[in-house]
Formats: sequence, C-alpha cells, structure tokens
Amino acid sequence: MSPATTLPHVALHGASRAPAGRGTKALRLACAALTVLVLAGLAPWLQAQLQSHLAASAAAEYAAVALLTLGTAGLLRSAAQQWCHNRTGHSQRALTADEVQEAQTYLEVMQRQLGGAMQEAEQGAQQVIERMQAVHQVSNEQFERIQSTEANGQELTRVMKDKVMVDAQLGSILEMFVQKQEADVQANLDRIQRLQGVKDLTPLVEVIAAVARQTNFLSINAAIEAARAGESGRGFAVVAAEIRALSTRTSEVAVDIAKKINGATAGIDEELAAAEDASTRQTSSSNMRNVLADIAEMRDRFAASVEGLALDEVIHAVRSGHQDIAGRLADAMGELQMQDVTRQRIEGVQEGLADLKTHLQEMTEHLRLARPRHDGVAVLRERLQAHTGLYVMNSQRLTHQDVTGQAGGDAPHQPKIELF
Amino acid sequence: MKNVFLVDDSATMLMSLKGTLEISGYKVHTASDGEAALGLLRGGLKPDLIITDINMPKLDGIGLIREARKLLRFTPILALTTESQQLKREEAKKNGATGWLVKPVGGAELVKVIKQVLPGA
Repeated sequence: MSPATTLPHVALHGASRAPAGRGTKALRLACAALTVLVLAGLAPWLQAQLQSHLAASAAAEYAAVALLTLGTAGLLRSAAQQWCHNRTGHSQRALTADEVQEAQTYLEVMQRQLGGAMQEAEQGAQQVIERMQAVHQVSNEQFERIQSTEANGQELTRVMKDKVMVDAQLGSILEMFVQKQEADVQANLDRIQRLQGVKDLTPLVEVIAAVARQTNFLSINAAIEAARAGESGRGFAVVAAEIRALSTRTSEVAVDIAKKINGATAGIDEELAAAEDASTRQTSSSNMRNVLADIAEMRDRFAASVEGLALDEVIHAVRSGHQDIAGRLADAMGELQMQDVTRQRIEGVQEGLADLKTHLQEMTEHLRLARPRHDGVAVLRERLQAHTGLYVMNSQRLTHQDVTGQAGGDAPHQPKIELF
Repeated sequence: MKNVFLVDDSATMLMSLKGTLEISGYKVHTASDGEAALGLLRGGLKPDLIITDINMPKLDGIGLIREARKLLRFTPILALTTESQQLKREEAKKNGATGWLVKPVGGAELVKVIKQVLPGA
C-alpha cells in the first residue's frame, strides 16, 4: 500500500479513538435531546390538531395530519442531525490535525534514531579499521624482527658454511699428511729391506777369502819350486813372495770386509725390526686417522645442522604468511567501504522521513484551516518519486519499483570497474 | 614507494582506503573534499595517483578532476563512487578521469587496478 493511501487511513483510524468517541457521543446525546425538546414543543399543537379534526375527521384528514406531523418531525430531526454532523466533522478534523502533528514528532524521533544509529555504525567501522591497522602494525613489527633475524641468520649460515669448508680443507690436509707419513714409513721400510742386500756380499767375501787362501797356497808352492830351481828361480821366488803377501793382504781385507758387512747387517736388522714394528703398529698415523675421522664426523654433523636450519625456507614461509595476513586485512578494509554506501542509504531514508514530515505539516495546516487539499496524494507521490535521486544502489531502485510500480530512476547497467 | 592521494568526504572511507593502501605498500595523502584536495595540489603535492569520490561538498569529484587535470597532465585519476553516480561516468571521463570504480572495491581488486594504471607500483 502506498503512503498516499496509508495516511488518510491512519487519520480516520485515529478519529475513532477513545477521546474522539467520547466527544461524538456527547454531541449525539445533545442532538437527541434537542429532537425530544422540539417534538415535545410540537406535542400540544399536534394534540389540538388531532382533537379538532378527530371528531369530524375523515380518515384522509387524519392521515394527512399524521403525514404532516411525521414530515415536520423528520425535517426537524434532519436539521438537528445536520447541525450535529457539522459539529462532529469540525471536531474530527481538529483531532486528526492533532494526530497528524503528533505523527511529525514520531517521524522526528525515528529520523534522529536513524542518525544516531548511523553515527554509531560509523564509529564502529572506524574502530574496526583502527584495530585492523593495529593488527597489521603488530604483524609488520614481527616481520621486521624476523627480517633482522634473517640477516643475522644468513651471516651465521655463511660463517657456518665457511667453517664447514675450512674443516673440510683441514681434513684434506691432514689426510694428505697422514698418507705422506705412511708412505714415508713404508719407503723407509723398503729402503732398509733393500739394504739387507748387503748380507748377500758375505758369500762373496768368503769367495775372496778362499781365493786368497788358494793364492797363498799357490805362492807357497811357487816359492818351493823357485827354491828348487836355484839361482834361476830367484826372480820367480820374489814374485811368489809378492803373491803370498798379496794373498795375505787379501785375506786380511776379506776378513775386515766380512766384519764390516756383519756389522752393517746387524745395524740394518735392528733398523728393519724397528721400522717393521712402527709400520705394524702405525701408532701415530692411527691416532691421526682417529682425529681425521672425528673431524669428518663433526664436519658432517655441522653441515647437516646448517642444512637443517633452513633459515631461508622458514623466513620465506613467514614472509608469505605476513603477506597473506596483509592481503586479507586490505581486503577486509576494502569491504568496509560498504559502510559508506550504507551511510548514504540511511541518509537518503532520513531525507525521505524529512519529506514526509513536511507533508504531514502541510496536511495539519489544511486540516486546521478546514481547507480541503485535492492534490495531497499527487504531491506525496511526487515527493516519493523525487526520492529516487538519492538512491545509491540498484537494489533500492528495484525496491521502489516493486512497491510503487514506478521506475526507481535511470540506472544503466555498467561495469563496476572501467578504465578509460 | 608510490604516493596515492585519496579524496572523500566520508571519514570511514578515507580510513578504510588509507589502511588498504598502506598495507599494500603505498604512501597515502588524504583530503575530505574537492576544495581541500585542490588546495594541497596547488600547494605542490604531486601524487602518483589520485582516487576521488564524486559526490562531495564544496567542490565535487568532477570539478576536482577538471581542475587537477590542469595541474597534473599525466597523473592517473580514478573516480570511486556509488552506483547512483553512474550517470556522471561520461562526465568524469570527459574531464580527464582515468577510470571509474563503484564502491565497494575489495583491497586486492583495488591494488590490481592501481598496478594497471601505475605500472611498476
């Protein structure tokens, strides 16, 4: 039902309320009393008329008088009722005017209530935005701290990686050192073992000694034969003596060589035994290898720790989470723009209520002045139609059209976002 | 960091847009009507982008677009308004607006549009 048809209904409904009802009843009682009085005043005259005509009455005369009497009473009653009706109409208009004026107060209250609600909603929305900004601020600070940790963490990771690399290089150097030492030990052993070849000279010394002995025997034989030969063998005897001296000297040298070879062999054997013992036990290199193994294990664990830290991944995840929070907050704040649209809608409704109040004021004046207004409905409809200019959403226009059957304003369908 | 200049007579709108843009990494300046905005622009403010409401007191969005275009020939200007102002779309375009957005525009959507009109932002 349109407001144009609602208002008169409300007014008439108001007129039938208790106070108006009491006034009407009083007037009706007054009218009834007046009618009784008029009828009472006419009674003697009627009686006289009846008495004067009754005796010589004819039925027609009686009927005419009766009709005249009834007609007169009817006219009088009608006049009284008209007077009462006029009095009642005047009172009803005054009451309706009061009620319509009261409705303006009602509208004023509603209008202000809407304003208050809108203001509170605005404040609420602004507080929500402030909270969101605070949340973002906290998230931002946390992310900055994490970024600072990231820098420190990256430095730590770099140092740790350098340390792992240095440890690896140190391990390699130690490995090379141990290998060299082991090779040296083996080389010494080999050399000593090769020196044992000196023992092979012992049989040769024996041969030299044997040759010296044979030579000595030969020289002795030669000296004997030279002695037998007499003077002619004197020269040969000299040679035989030289050969004997040579063989003696050779024997002495052979003995000396044999002693030295034995001495050297004994020394080599001792060295070999010691070298073989060292090589077998490999004490120092074993220790070194243990150290190397420890270092390698430590390095591997360290490297695994560095990998396990995965600071980059952690920080990347934190950054991603922070960006996600920021995006959601930005979106949520964007949605709060709806608050502005709602505010404009409420402002539109407030203006509508103000229009209706003005209309009711005009109605009040018309009622009080008993001046009929023939264009009231049309004016009210025009006011409602003019309200379409305040609509901020197409849904408002559709609602307007649904209720009034009139178009809610020209709202061409256009994209929500358009870049020219 | 790019500078965005927001002009709207609604404090809530300014707060919501400022929050959205600051979170997204923009520096934001604000004004609550066209006249105040024009004063800041004449005072030397050189934003990379202007986003303005249309229906505002003193100087409306169309007037601001027209006057701002005289000062900043190449600065993108986006109108952000309600459906009721649709009929002013062409007028905004004629006066030098770069684009037209109908409220509400989500944060991600708004940033996407800004990146379109401000390459590299």
